[in-house]
Amino acid sequence: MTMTVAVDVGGTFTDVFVRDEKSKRWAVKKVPSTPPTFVDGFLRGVLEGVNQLPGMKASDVNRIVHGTTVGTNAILTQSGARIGFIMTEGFRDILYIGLGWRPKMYDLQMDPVEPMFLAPRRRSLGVRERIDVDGEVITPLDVDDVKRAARELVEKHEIQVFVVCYLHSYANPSHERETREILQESYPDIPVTLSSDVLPRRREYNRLVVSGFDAYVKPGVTSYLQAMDSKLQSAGVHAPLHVMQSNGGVAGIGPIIERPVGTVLSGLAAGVIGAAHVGKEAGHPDCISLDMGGTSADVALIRDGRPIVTADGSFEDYPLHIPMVEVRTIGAGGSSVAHIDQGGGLRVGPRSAGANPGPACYNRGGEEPTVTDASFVLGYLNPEKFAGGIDLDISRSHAAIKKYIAEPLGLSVVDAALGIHAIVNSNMAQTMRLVSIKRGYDPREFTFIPFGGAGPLQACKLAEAIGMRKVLVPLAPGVLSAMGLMLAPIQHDAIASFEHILSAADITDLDAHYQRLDESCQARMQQDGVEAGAGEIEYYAEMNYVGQAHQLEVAIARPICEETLAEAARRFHEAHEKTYGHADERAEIEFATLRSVHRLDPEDQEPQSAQAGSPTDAPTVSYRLAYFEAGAEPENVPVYQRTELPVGFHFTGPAIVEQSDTTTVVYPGHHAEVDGFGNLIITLEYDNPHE
Amino acid sequence: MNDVAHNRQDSRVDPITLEVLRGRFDAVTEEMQLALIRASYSPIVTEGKDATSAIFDYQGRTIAQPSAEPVHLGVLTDPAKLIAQRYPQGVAQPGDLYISNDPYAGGSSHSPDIAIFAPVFHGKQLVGYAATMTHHTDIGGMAPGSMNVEAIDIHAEGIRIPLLRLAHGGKLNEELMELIVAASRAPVNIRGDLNAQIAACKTGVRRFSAIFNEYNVALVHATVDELLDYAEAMTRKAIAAIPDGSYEWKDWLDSDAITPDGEPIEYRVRIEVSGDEIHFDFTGSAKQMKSALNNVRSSTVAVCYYAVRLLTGDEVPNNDGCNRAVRVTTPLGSVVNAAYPSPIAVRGIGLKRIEDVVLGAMAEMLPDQMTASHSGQYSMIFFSGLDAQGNRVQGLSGGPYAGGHGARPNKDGIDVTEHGVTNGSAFPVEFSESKLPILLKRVELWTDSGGAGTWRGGLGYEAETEWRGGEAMASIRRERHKFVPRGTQGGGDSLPCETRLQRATGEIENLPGVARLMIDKGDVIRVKTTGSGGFGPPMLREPKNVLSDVLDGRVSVQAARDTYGVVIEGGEIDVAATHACRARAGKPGEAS
Repeated sequence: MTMTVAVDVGGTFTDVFVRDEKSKRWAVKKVPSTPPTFVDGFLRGVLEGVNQLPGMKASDVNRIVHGTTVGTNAILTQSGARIGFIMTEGFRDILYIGLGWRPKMYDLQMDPVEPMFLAPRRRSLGVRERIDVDGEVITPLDVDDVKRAARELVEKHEIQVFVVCYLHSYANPSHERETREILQESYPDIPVTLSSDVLPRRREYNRLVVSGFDAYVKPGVTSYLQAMDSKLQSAGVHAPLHVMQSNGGVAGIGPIIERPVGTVLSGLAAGVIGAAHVGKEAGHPDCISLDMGGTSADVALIRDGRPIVTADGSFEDYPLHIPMVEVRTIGAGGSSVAHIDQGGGLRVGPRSAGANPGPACYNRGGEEPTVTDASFVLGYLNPEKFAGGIDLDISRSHAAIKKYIAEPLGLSVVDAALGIHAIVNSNMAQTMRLVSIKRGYDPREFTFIPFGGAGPLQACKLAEAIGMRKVLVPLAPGVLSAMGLMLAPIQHDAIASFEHILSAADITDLDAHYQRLDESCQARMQQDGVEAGAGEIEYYAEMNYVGQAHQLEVAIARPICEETLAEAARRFHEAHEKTYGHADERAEIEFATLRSVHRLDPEDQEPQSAQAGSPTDAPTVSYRLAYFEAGAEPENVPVYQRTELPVGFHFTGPAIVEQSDTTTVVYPGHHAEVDGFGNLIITLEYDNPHE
Repeated sequence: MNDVAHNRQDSRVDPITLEVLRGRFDAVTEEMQLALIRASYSPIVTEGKDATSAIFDYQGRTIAQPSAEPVHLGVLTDPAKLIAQRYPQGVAQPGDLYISNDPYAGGSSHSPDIAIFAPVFHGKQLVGYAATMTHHTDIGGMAPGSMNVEAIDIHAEGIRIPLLRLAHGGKLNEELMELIVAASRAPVNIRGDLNAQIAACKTGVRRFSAIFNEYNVALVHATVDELLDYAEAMTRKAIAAIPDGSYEWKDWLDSDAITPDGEPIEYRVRIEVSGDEIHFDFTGSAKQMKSALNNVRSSTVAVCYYAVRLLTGDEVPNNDGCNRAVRVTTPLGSVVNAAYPSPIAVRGIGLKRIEDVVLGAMAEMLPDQMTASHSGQYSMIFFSGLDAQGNRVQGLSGGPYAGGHGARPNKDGIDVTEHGVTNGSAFPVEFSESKLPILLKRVELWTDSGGAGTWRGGLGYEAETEWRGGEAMASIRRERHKFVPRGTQGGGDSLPCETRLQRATGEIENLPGVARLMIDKGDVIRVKTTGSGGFGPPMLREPKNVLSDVLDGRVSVQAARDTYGVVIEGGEIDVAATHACRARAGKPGEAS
């Protein structure tokens, strides 16, 4: 007997998803998280999760997949390692001078946009060495200088990780590598992060920030994963531990510890992968996913069943240009606060009441109305079945909206509540539109997959706001992230700088570059137990028209030959046309960066169908009053229980569907049907198509 | 609730629609800006972000603009009104594009900034305009880069494009395009950048008109009226909170940059606040210069608009309503309102001094909200000449170009960051070295360049750039070699800038801030760019903050003792000596 266990550790709860690989039976378990180390909650989750499937025991587990936020939290709380920078002499201030740009034009109180918390300037030292833009050595590396700097960082500042970031190391990493040898000889116990390993791309500030983050989270992530692994061993679980990365794949703890920055944005990736699989399985390969919880909403674009991966991502305001599933976060959630600004305008968010004090109806001291309060006023949510265990006082929702919104604006409480929903939806719709059009896609051709506690409640109105035609509410939206972990491929990627004009590129040289990337990926795949030749390999190239500074990435086929180059060029023109609305077939194209992706999907891709929509007797219906239109009378709306809806069941809104982890509102005129996988598919029709 | 909110009950548009449409308008310009920056060719756009997008209503009133260069916001307001007059309903056609760069016809604030406008239609009804403005690398004229202090008039500064149709009913005027491209020394860049502008305008037209497909035209127009009223109300409220009175500030440019041993050039403003109105009066500022450091009125007005926006913050929509309570007086023929045909291409230098006097007077007016003087720098080195292989190259050197951000009433200033009306980004060193035959030898914070204070001014930087090509011209455009950024409320000043040329032979020359010189392989230009002023007496600065600055090399041990009265030995504060030192200075602080 074998089973896979996926563990998604959140701030409050740890979600566990277990699956019997033979019978395909699965089960979920939620246990409290145990900050600050999280290890105990993890272990308890695994063991209790195993018990969910009768006849299974710890030794039957053959793979554990885990999404960790240890690295993310270290950055958010600025509690990472003491790191020290070794830089090119004259350039110790790359971080402290930074971009020199300000995101807000009229804010005199702003703080610098650079992550200054990584290390104070005293821990950034220059050493004599210089490589030029062509990779030629101008000044040889001064070994004594390196030793002197290292000694100062270790003895005076007690640093835990070295970061080495020299100018143009993407073009010639030899000085950085030589420095690592010197450092390891003197300080074998102190890890070294080389910028040319983490991000071999031009633009020193971006390379430094990613390398700095890598080092900053390294000791924390390392000790966490090692503790986890040894606890699992002693609990009798001898399965490999796989960890989610921001690129949308998982990797073993060996490669993760080597490059922990890859986990920093992984928390959002698993949900997108879960959504992508649910969509693909149900015949919707092109989707936009929305994970909406209490304080924020995360939007991602899925194309052909795979999340879009970007190398231009960011974390907070910091550039994090490693391959990552592109997710855009908006400050909009159930606890977003509605308020009237100084000029009398109604605003919703980005301020959030969070879980504490939370919405006014939580009766925990929150006075101001939130989106959730509006949902109660409108009758969309059931106070009896909300967020397990909270003693709600709905009259406080009414009172808050009345006092803070309705009276000042001269609106009825219901109209004010509808307004709060309209505004939060409009804010989210802007982001959904940007996420898709940024890539040149028309959101109307995509299926919308909402999940998270608040997603399915807002989804249909949101879809309407940007003209989307289909909404897919997954059977188990609360465990989509844990499910995504289980479905994520083992994946490694590698990038290299390659700055040549396409028409003049040396084909052999280009192919050799990809060969080296393959070797780097293969080594890590093998470390994770994947045999050479198993899985799939994809190649990409970032290109631009000669003279441009920003790139677009297109797929390219190997072995490289005249035809594959011509095909890549064609794709680039097409992508440029699609993204920017124009292309120039006469212009020369140049390469900037090459990327190779190695991936092995888990064998079984149908986690959900085994239990899809198990039909019971005719579903029970209850009724309650709900409001949909300003000034209109309330309607008596049927309320269904999601677990009772059989495959093929269909109805027309208005209706409300309740389940343990979320509530779906089907608005008047929308058609809903349960598909063969248990998903609720809602279809929207328009008299007056947008645009 | 406040009065303004009560007034909203009488409004013509419901508050929900108002907020929803406001978000839509912002999203249109954000999308335009994204397309503009990423598809452009020139580093000044792709790295420096010296480009902007905006949408206007059918009357040419600004509706929305994304976070970009504040100075561009103001300067697009007048051309937009001109466009609305010249190409109203009946004249404008779907698919039209209008282009202009003429500062003396309300086109832009200097000729390299080319504006392109596109009318937006709902069916056959003209409903608004979408616009982009980009700083172009070269538009011809007497010198590479089209920015030369010695230009005798605007005609020497490159092609003048009066307001013209660049496209008519969807058909691009290829001949006009070729004329503009032919005028440039960087034809590939200008063509690519213009194409990016056109594409961004088209995006704006598509997204803006989509709003009218979903909402009734009258409702959208009423919403625009209300959003403008709303911004006006917010602005008036902020002005009304300022005590009535008048506040003055003066500052100087080192010289006009062309007259040998020239006199300083004075900038002067008096701000008068009366009720909920504010008046900026530049009377008394120097007469226009013979050199190209002058500004046209629209730039000066843009600085004033920016200053008033500081009172209301980023939350208030960027629209014309923000400016209704603002009046600006600029004597014609002065440095703040140059008369045709004065040269103005290097207006950035004068612009920073206009900013300094406006913000200086604002700090007199609101000492608890404003800052000490910023570095007042927009330091540029422009190279044109031969690379090592003998090819012609030109472009801006890399590294930062702003100095420090002024100290705040409760916070230190920020080291080397854009401030005031400009908001570009430093070019990455690795990027600059890929575009020009240069080798940066050093870009570091300049110790002790932040004005001392209870809150220290942001530091400036030192940079050294080696030319690796063949014979070339370096055009250096910097300032503040004589007049430094000033501290406030007892805070100290920053240091004057320095500019030096170290020849390949080893000899060193001191240069003025603005200089043009021939260079060759191995010559090195060394600059020190000033920081900003400090806030409050330095003797009151927390000793631990002084220690931290010393350990981080921002303040020297000597300055810690002499200026801050904090004695540091072996990396630690000598508490007794610090007490004694501060007591002698008569300003006892706590040496905790």
